[in-house]
Amino acid sequence: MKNSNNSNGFIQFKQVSKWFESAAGRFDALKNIDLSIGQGEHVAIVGKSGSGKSTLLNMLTGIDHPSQGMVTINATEVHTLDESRLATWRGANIGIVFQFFQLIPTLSIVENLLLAMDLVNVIPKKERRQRAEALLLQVGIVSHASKLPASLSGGEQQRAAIARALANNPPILVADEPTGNLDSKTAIAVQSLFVELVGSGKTVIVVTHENLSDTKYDRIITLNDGAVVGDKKDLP
Amino acid sequence: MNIKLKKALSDLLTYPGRTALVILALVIGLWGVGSILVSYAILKSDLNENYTRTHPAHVILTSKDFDRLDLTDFRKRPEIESAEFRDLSFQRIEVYPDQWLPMWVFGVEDFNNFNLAQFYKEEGNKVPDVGSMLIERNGQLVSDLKVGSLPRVRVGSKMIEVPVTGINFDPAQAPATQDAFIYTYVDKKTYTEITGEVVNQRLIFRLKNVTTKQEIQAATNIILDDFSSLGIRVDTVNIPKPDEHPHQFQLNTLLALQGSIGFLAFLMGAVLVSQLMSAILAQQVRQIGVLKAIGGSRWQVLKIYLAMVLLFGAVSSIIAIPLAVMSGYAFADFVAVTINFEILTTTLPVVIYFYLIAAGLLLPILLSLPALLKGVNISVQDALADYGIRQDTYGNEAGLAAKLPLSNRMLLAFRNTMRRKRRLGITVATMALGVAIFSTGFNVREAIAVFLAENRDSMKYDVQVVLKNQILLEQALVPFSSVNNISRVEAWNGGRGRLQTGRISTTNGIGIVALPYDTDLATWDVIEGRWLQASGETEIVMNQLAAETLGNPTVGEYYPIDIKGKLLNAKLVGIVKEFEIAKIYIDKDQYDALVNPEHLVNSLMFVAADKDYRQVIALKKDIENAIAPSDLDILYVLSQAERAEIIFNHLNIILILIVFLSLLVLVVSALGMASATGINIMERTREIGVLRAIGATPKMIYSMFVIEGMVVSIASILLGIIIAWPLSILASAFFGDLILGNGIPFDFAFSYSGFGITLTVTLIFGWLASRIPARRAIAVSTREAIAYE
Repeated sequence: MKNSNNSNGFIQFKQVSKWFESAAGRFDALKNIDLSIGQGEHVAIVGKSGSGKSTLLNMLTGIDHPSQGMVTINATEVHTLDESRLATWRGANIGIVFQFFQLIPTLSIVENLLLAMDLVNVIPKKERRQRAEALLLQVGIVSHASKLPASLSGGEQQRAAIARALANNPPILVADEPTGNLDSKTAIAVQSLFVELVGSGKTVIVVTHENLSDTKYDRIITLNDGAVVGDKKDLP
Repeated sequence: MNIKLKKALSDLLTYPGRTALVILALVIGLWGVGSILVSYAILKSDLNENYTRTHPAHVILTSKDFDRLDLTDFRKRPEIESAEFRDLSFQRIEVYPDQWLPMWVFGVEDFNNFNLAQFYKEEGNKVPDVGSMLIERNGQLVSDLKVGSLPRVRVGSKMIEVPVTGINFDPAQAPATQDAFIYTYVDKKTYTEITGEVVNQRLIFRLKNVTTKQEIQAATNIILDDFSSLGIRVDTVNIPKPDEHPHQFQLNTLLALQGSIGFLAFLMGAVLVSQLMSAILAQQVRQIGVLKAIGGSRWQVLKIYLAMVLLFGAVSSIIAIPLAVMSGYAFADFVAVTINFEILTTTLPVVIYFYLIAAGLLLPILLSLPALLKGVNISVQDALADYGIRQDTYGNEAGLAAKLPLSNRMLLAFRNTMRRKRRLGITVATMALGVAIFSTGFNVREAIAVFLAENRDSMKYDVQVVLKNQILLEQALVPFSSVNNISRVEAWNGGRGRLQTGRISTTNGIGIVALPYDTDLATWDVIEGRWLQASGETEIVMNQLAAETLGNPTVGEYYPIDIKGKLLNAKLVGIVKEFEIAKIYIDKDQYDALVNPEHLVNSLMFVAADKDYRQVIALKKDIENAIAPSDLDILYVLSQAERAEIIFNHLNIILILIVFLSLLVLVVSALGMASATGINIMERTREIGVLRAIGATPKMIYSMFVIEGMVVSIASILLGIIIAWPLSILASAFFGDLILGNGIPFDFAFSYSGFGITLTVTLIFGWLASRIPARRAIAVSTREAIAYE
């Protein structure tokens, strides 16, 4: 694991580019992205379809590697990690919330959290169940702990997914269109959760299409055609 | 419970039908191979153990001069382990009213004290009273003889009643049920009373420190030389294959058959697990992505799916292993009754359980490992981007299918079949293998049946009467002058002789059959050289077993043949294939010229005028009735139907097993196809929803999947039939060598009925395999199908 002197930001992108080769030719998903996100920031990444939001997220979470450039997170050069160490690092440092929840359908809600803790193994075994239940309480669905995901509404499943993302107490939470499948009322509730988490010290980065006026983001980064075209900071 | 194990278990329980199907296939396979392993462990040693613990004789000599031999001195020879005068005479016994069978009468020296060619008390007396006899227990299965019976025994022209006072068990003898003999045991006094023969004319002995026939032959030659110096002329020398039961060949065939087919069934079950795991991994590809995204390493994800395979293996083993032990013992019991020996292995070696457990757990893992590794190696990004079938698997061209004159529906069904080429390949290959083996089973059965029919049809006579002694033909025919339905009678002769080759010495009394070279009462399947002709020189033909016994002599070469002490230089002109003991055939005139100037005969071949089955049976009965008051000393009377039945009885168990095991393999492969089809349909649930959303009716969806299933079935049948051809040839050759010996194959035979059954069964399986999941698919609503992940 390569550590670097990251005095410029908790999360840092330096000249990050990503392109894809296909039968149709080369497609530049990201072009020379320079970005720095501080610890504890609540950031929204916005842009039209095909602007590179998901690709940026994949760089951030290590799901994909840049074709060029560096991604450094909490002093770790993520792009240098091999797959095995990356998985463990990701589980301990980044909680991911997917658009379609992606809960394991054959495990109960609490078991989904226990599985996440089991895979990363940073939470002592004796504490896991208690922690899982506490997280479910925090997100407001502890009464559904022993139910299978299919028994829950979309909003409840997304809360469960957030709880799972927090299972290993990662400093960073990344959410890809977390309210894309939810009704407006539930979406607001989920967004409020993110605000609470920011308040507790987490860095929360959300890729979204949603109306930004209802949410208190510290920063809104706009992407277009793979480049950062807007970066509003210190929003009220 | 460990959470990873919980996930594995939950995933399997989510589709209980599919899981049950795969477990069933694995259970069948493991049960099959487990039964084989268990019965093999028992039979491999038990038959031989039964035989060897009787201390069977290494050498059997007959001579009229043994009164010159001091048996006590003979037993003291350093090479002799044990020796005894155990007389043997061939008579006839009435087993049911008016039904007679050949009877072997053994004259035993001392029932209380013998350690050679032992037998054991089963019921009644251990030692027969004077004037009474023991019968071997297997004879009770072909008669109504029991302790207390008073059957008639025919000795020459004499008819006497000999009470049965005991039943014994003689595992060294070929079973009476198959060879249609009754074995009886009497003391020396009773022997003379019954047979009228002088005792102590048959010497049996065991040698020390010998293992091969060559060693036994060498030691025997020395003994014969010593006998010669004592003035003892030995008439026959018989050296059986050392320490091998007469029906070992049957057992070897059964075990070979069991072993190969059973293992295949198990292998196919394990392949099925591998296929299922591929499908599960394909279905759960996004789950794998998520697991890796939330912190799971490749190894951790692999453990979950390995746990699934282990669960399959464990559940299957728990069900199959006890069943295998039970059926293994049951099959061994069945074989033991059929071949007449006792099961001695009461406790299976622990290593057998170890093998079974290892097979049940390890083999599915080994076969699934490539698929598992491939599945978990997918990158997070690719996994999360996967929504089922990727567009690029179709390629960029419409393909050959688009050029065929097919309806859109047929085209879609055909192209759908080709989507997952690897899975399709495995499904078709597995099903084709099942079809091939099933078809091969029928073809081998047909080959054996054709052989039996040819064997039966090759003999044009209807009843054979064999005398114990050679007499004038006119004298032999007298009793039959008033028997109706006889078209003609031909007389043959037979006896024992010796052939000396450059490589080995005497043949130990090989059978000689002297018959008219141009007889039309029998035809032989000549496999090398030709049949006898009027060539002017002395010719012989031998069957394949005789050739094997004599070290495969060369056709066209001359060999000295010793018949009744007279040496004849005969040219070997041909080798024939038949299911008989080792025999040499010689022209009757040449035989008479050499050793039989009075033209005596001992074998009458009766041809019926009316060949209707019932008339032939009546003829045999009339012949028996004609013999009864006569003074003919009969060895046996046999109709062709009985002869065919005896041969069939030897092979029947094998025929049954072939078809049963073949069906087992086909069932396993069909289960595989059903599972694969179910997985295919499940993976395409969303696609089904889209089709229905754009106008496809449930009936159209259903027919599309059924067509897909039938395409796979037809492809499997075609491939299976192609594979079955060389497989059947190999299998026929294999069983031919096992049963007939000396590398002689059964001729390949194609079973039309077998083909029809294979075709029908496979198409039905294919239809069921696609119909059942297809019905489930159309039961899901369009909304649910589109929302399916």
